[in-house]
Amino acid sequence: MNKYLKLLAVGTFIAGLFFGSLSPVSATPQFSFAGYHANVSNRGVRANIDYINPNVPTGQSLEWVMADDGGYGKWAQIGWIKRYNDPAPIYFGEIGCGANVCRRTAEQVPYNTTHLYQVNLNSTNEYWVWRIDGEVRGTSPVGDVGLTQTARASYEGETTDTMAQLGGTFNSPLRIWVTSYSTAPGVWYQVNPVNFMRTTTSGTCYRATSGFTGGSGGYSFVDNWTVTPPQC
Amino acid sequence: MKRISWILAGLAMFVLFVLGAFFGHLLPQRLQGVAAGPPEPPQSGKTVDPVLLHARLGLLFVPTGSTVEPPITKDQAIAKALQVSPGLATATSASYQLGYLSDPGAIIESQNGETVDPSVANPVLVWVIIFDGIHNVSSGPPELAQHGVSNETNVSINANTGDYIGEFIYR
Repeated sequence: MNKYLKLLAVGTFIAGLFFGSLSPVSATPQFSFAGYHANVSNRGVRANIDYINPNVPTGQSLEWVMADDGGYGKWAQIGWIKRYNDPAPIYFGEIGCGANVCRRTAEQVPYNTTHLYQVNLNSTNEYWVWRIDGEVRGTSPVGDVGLTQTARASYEGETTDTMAQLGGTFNSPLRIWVTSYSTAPGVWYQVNPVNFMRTTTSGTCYRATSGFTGGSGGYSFVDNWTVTPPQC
Repeated sequence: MKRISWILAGLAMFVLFVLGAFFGHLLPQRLQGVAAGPPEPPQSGKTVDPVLLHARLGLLFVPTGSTVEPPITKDQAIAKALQVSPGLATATSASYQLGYLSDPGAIIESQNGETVDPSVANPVLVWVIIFDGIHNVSSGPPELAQHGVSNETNVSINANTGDYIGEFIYR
């Protein structure tokens, strides 16, 4: 074989080797949300969130409740998160801290369990307190969060991967229910469904559908996010 | 005839390129597989920034002196962290620090009679394993124009019991 042809063959193989060893570059994630929010002044939010272990090929999927300033970058939230390399959802609490991520996580959510996720100001207005089923799991000073009273209560699902499952199925919907907010220490109200506004971000394939069942005054809130949507 | 030779040569080059890409794709996996047990990232000298950690998440971290030898070794702590979160094996580097981690707000809540998770009710001697090169994206409200990012994940492991406590991300 021609000497130059041999060299070319070796070079081609090495070029292929190099190309194959490159890590795929992850695309800028698209943030898709589905759920409901209410513009109510509050000092805390809470709701029950049912269990689901969604398929998350890339990025992350989450379900959470959040007290925030209406979208200006300050928030306190709690729920579960499943990143693409997590075997199952884990508990998380997060606050807004500008260009960085300020998050704490704990253990995996036990299989097939529903939990009451709550984040609220403590009675002396010094800390935002994260609770799961009433137990304190962490706190963050008010100065770190940058909020006391907040303008909005949100109950949502979120994913950075539109191929990922966000919630349950039609027959077995993910539920965020008994959606509540606090106005004073120890005082909680369920959100009046009349005050709920649907969150549907542009580009998302997910649509929240709601039903309001049972509960005192019919304020219990059931939600359902579609799965495997990809074609919007 | 010459044209056919050129086509065959081109095809051969293409096959060689594809073969190279295939083996190149396998290479990192084979390198990882050589290590026994969960692969540990190379070590870096990074340490916890206690001031920033307190300013961002309200957690207090007080490093211990090097003379403290807890029942759980740092290797056991790293292995536990990787067992709970296998994805952390993709970190570009890791470092570790021994110290007392506490949540002052939770301690106050506990003193006020609230039910508090034992792992945050008192200062706990922990190994903090700092995994670098782990890409994290913030959650937050839908209107957020720019989501926060972080390339570090800290895992705390109880240095007395080996229990997994959780992760914290703050910078």
